[in-house]
Amino acid sequence: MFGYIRPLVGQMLVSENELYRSIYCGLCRAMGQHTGCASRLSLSYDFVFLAAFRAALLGIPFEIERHRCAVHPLKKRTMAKDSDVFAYTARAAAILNFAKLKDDIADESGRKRLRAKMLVPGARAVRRRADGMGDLEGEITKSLTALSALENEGCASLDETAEKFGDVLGTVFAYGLTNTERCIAHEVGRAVGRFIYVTDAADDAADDAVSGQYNPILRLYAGDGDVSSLLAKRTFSDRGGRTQTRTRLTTDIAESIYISALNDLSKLQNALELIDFTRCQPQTAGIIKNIAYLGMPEELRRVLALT
Amino acid sequence: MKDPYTILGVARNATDDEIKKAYRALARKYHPDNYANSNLADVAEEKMKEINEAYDAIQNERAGGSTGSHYGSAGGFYSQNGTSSDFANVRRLMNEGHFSEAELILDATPQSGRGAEWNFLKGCVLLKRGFVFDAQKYIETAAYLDPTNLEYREAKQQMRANASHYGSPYTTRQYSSCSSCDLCSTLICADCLCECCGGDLIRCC
Repeated sequence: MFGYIRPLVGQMLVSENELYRSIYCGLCRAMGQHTGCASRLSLSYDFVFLAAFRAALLGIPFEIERHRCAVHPLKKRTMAKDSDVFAYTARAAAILNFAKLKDDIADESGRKRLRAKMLVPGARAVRRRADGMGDLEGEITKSLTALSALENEGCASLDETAEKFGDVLGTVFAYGLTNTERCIAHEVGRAVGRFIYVTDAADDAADDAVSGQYNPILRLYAGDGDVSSLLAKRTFSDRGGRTQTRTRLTTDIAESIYISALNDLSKLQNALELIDFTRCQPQTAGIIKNIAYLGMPEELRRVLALT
Repeated sequence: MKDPYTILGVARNATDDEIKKAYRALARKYHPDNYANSNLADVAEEKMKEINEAYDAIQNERAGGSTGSHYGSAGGFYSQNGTSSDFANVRRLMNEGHFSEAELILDATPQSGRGAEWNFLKGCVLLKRGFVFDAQKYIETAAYLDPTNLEYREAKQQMRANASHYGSPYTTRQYSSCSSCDLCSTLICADCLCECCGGDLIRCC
């Protein structure tokens, strides 16, 4: 959906990276089978984490197969075999994407709204194939509507708004589980949702300052006042390692957000530590830990232009 | 019941010290303080119980008799120093655990009365609710308004310390590396060996 939940590949074991890529390709293929070809375009790293997390929590191993795919027709690729975990992830992705697009049309303006309008017919068709899980859609829409209400009234608390998005992912992560597993999955989803919301807000801060759109970070630090003091020209390197100079949040605010985000992520660590990782493949556990403890902080550092 | 050694993650032939160390690490990990205000408090408590039982079982099995010391609870977040304070009643309420009442009083304070201490207390109340992003802003404001105050500075440092601990022990995995210390001691060793054979590697020693 956003692609902020990704591993720090440089710190992964080679076997972990191989499994990660297989899960990515396997999930893409499974999405084609479960929710149609169009849904494969909506695949993002966030959903790969969801699939890997589910498998780790439930102790389900990934079986590896070799297939060709349309994007890479020449060489067969290793892919994780289709499973219940993928079926659930594909459906959850379809529902989440459709709900988010509908929400964007209602809330956003300009380019983002236009993009959402163009994608909605495709997403609706995909959503129709994700049978069942109607109750999930209801709950997600409820949380997203509550979030929109907070944003429209100009809520000055980053925690309150982030919590609503945490509710969305908490519901998705916990869907169909019971007891302890449900509690753990909900808490992990909640922490991931809060992180995504804050990261997205940090990513959009400079654009929102220009367009005058609501942004929870600008609102928290500037209140009703002028937001220009919160932004500065910053030089940083992007994902490809190229150096860029752009308007971003100032170093002070970026550091403040980063520190509070890591404090917030301790809830994710607390939840992950309750999982019995001995039940799943060691590589799956490695992937989850890499993403949570290294990949996510790194992604936030990139967005905040901290080195 | 599961094997107590598996629960603590130690070998059957581990020494008492190793077991104690493993137990302490786990107890710290699942300590109720880490899960305060969390939906996972029950799960963590169960895990804690399991660890305690496993530890006791091993202790009994080894006929040590003693049940070992348990992890003490961490101190409160805010200090209770005796300095005169505009918000003495708010602090009193917070010490007694009435955080929502304390917050009501803070929110009712007029804009003019919102100095460093107000920001600090507001930050602490928010932190208690798990609102870290908002809390961080208030605590930093407090430290900015009154840079000499130790209490505010400590709270700010605490946030930083928590942040730097995120992901450990996973993020602090030690790869066998060669530090400058290793390099020096290796060179000195090599020098000694050379001198034994009548040569010299480092002239000055």
